[in-house]
Amino acid sequence: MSDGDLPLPVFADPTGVLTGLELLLFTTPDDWVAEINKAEDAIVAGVKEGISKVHDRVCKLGFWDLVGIGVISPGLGITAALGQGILGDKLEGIAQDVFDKLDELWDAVQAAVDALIGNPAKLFELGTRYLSAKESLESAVFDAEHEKGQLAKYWGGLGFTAFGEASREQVAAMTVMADKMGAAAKLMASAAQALKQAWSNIVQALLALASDIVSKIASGLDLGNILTGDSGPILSLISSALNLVNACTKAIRDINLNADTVGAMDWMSLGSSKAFKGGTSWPPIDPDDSSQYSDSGSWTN
Amino acid sequence: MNQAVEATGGSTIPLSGKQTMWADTTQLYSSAYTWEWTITYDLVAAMAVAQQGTTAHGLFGLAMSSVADKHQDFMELADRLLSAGMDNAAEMGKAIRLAADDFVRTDDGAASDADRVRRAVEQP
Repeated sequence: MSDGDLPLPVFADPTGVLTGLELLLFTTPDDWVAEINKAEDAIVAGVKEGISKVHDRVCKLGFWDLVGIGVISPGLGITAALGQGILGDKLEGIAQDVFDKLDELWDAVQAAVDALIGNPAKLFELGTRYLSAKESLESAVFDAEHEKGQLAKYWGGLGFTAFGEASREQVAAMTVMADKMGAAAKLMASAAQALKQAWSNIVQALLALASDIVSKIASGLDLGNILTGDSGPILSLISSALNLVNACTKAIRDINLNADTVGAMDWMSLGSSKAFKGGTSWPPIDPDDSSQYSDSGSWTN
Repeated sequence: MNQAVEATGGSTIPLSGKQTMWADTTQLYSSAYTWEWTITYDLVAAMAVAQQGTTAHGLFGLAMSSVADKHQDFMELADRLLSAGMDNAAEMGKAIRLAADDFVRTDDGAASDADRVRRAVEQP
């Protein structure tokens, strides 16, 4: 009797498959790591289930089934149980190879986790706060400009001129800082999105591997292969596993490229702005202006 | 009340001949308040956010540590700059308030005509 005559075991779909919506929703590191753990558990469960079901098939093989697939030869006095034991040992060896391979995979996944364990949710949140800071600064600019306009109507002389000049310099600095906060908000969103994308890619790759393992064990672990120690199923797993490693590597590379892009924002370009003389100092109030507007006695032309 | 420097209450009607400089102290006080409190408060709010940014390095992950470094450097700078901006705003507001006080005080109680002339300007 050939292996094909036995009913193939039914394999359940890997558990923990994410929907598109769920992929969008995991934004905290805890969520992501939980999904990774779930996917890893699904892979291990899939392998164990596959090995177990093949083992069950081995245990159901009769003497002539075993003769048929070449495990034992008639006339040598070997029992079916002994033949099943030989096949079982081979199966156990294959299982061990698979789990060894999986251990290597977890190392790759862990490296990706270590590199990408940021927090998109908090980055988004911080970006929102930067936007509020931008609005605060814009509000300050608006108020200062409004007051300057009002004062221009109701205050004449050198005092107003000096105050207007001091106000202009302060407003210019606030304007630059508001722009920077806006750019920072965009960067937070971009960095958060890049992290989320990398996380999704890795989880997707893990889920694909889980699915692949289940289907390949189901179709690849035929009894003849087990007997000959054929590494077909393992090769299939390795191929799938390489996809996972590649996905992890690509996720890290992509995010590095993204970091180069978002990092290209010229954070410290304040120096090139006339508003920040020297680049690292808020414009001080000109002492001449200050003495002029602070002394009502010198407000005249 | 010293008519020479009397607050005009916002009137922008040009005075004729040799006139006095005028100022609406109500508006001066309003502007002083805006700078000393409203604008300062806005800068404090922005500064508080920048301070939050200085502790956000870990949110980026190791793979984006270079961005995290730049971000942190900037937020530390922004925190410092905004603090200086806040001080300046408060100082400007306070200076105007005190000067307006002085303006009003000397307006009402100028010791001599010379004090009044000191603030006189020629109107075209």
